[in-house]
Amino acid sequence: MRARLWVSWLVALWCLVYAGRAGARTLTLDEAVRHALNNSPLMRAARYSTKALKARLLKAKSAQWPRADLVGLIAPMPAQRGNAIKGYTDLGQWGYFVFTRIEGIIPIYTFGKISALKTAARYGVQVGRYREAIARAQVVLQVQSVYYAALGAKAVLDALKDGRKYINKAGKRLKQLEQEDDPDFDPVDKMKFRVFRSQYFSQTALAQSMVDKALDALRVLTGLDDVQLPSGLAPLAWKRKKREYYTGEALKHRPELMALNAAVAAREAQVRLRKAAFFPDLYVTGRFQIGHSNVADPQGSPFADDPFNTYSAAGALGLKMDLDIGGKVADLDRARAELSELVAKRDALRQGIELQVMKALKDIDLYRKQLGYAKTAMKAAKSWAIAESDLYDNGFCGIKDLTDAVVQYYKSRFDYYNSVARFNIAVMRLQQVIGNTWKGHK
Amino acid sequence: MNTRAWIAILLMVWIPGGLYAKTHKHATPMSVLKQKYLEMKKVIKKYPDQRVMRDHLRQIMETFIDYEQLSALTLPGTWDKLKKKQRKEFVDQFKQMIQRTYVNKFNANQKFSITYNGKVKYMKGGKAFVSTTIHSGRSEAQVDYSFHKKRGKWWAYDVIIDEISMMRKYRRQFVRIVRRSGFDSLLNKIRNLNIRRRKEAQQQEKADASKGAQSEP
Repeated sequence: MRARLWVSWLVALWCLVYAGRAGARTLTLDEAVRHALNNSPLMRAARYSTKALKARLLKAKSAQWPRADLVGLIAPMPAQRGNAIKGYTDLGQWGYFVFTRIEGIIPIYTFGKISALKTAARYGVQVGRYREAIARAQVVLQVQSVYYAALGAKAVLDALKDGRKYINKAGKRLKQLEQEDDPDFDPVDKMKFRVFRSQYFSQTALAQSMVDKALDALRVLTGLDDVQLPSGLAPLAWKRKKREYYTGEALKHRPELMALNAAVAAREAQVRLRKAAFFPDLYVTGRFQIGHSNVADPQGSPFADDPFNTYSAAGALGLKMDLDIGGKVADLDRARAELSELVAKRDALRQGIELQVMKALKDIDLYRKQLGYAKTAMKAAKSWAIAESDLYDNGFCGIKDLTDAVVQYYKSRFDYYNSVARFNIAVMRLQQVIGNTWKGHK
Repeated sequence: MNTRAWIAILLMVWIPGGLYAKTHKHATPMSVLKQKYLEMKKVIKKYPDQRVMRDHLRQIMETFIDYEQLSALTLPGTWDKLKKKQRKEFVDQFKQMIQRTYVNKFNANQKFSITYNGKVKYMKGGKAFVSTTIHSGRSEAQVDYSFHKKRGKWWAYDVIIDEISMMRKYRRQFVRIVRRSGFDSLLNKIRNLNIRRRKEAQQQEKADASKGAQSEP
């Protein structure tokens, strides 16, 4: 019975361990980006900022609606006896006093103030949405960069692990030659091999650390506890078009530029608002009030003020204007200057975008060339290593010939995967520069 | 024996001979290679035992690699001076070495596919060249073959893996050794190596067998 209990405990433990391992998921780039977008504080901040700007728009819209103030009060009061000429307060008798007043105002014509306010707020919301797009693009590029760097590091690590067989083979043969006191055995070869093996382990440790760091970064970005990377890293399929095409796309779609366009439109509305402030507001106003007390004598004369027994209603057409002309001139100047500043910033961004497109394309061109060279080098080094391995296996070359070839092979593989990662990241950066929204990777 | 019996015997000899001649007449380096790859694929699939599979692969290699020509080419200037017995032993030892090196690269149930790159290139002196690419998993290698015609049949005399010719690779080493220490030294080296590798293989087999016996209930 006891043994059975132990077995069931062991089975349960094994299941737990296995389930834990099964939980480590292989993360595709699409999944990584999706999780990162959901998890990003930057995205959350941008969304709340848009929410605040939407509230501003709602407030601007409410400016055209009728507004009313309501005052209501109820209080105990001693009796008020007599009239306006001769009266007294009777503290021996107490009653109540109720009072209600409603004042309303309906804007009729504001010389464009309300519509300018609404326009500015509407463009403000657009700025918020483009800021979300900017945040999104930043998060996407960050994840893409980390992901490709991680895949590159993993590919190097896999290659190094794969190369362990060469080390073992060389070590085994050296040992055998030494044991058999073969004339081909050179004690210096043993030292050469030791250096090579140490370098190999050092490189493996470095690659492992790079993979771990990249995985940690992915975990933080995606908010997932346990992630694994798929094997293999291939260059993205990318066909170059003319630079003008990318510049045109960037000027059309780049969220930073779109945000500045919206901000300029909002500032233009602000300028209109400041200009309209020189004109009055035309409105209709109305007022109704009622006051009553059960312990105050009513005043018969219409000339006597009787707040305790009153009932009145009034309506009027009104005109309102702030005559602080100096302040208004200053406000208009400030709005105009801010508009000009934004227009200048937009021009600077346009110039910057052209430069960014040029740089991104040059980077891609360079990395693609390097990728080609790295591929050629890797292929040649592979043939070299295989050939030397065969010769070494059959005793026709020394340890140095083999290790030289193997070192070059792994170095070229390292360069190749680095080049692939750099190339892919550069392609993704170009996508960000031209404002291509992320729709998933192929 | 009457006339009918003679005719029957003649027909029996002539018809298969004629068919054989026709088959070889139409065989090209490409068809030879395709046939051999097909056989190799079958062997790799059929025999899960690594040793048995490799033995069969060796047999296939025997039927399309001309080891004699390969040996002659790796010893320029020396081959012609060798006696018949020396040549025979060199071919035998070199063949063992080559077969072991290349056959050991195959594993049981290993999946691979072949792409034939273009057509056969026929060259002067009855030689031909076929280029292929072998794909296995994520890796691939360009494997080219140099053929020549011998006794009416196409034989491969060099295998070029990723632009490295097997013949040239060994020729450089062999020439160096022959120049330094003579042909006998080279032959001894290869012979000793083959003996050593055979012993290792036998030891490995024994170790595998005892492992298998231990794991059995």
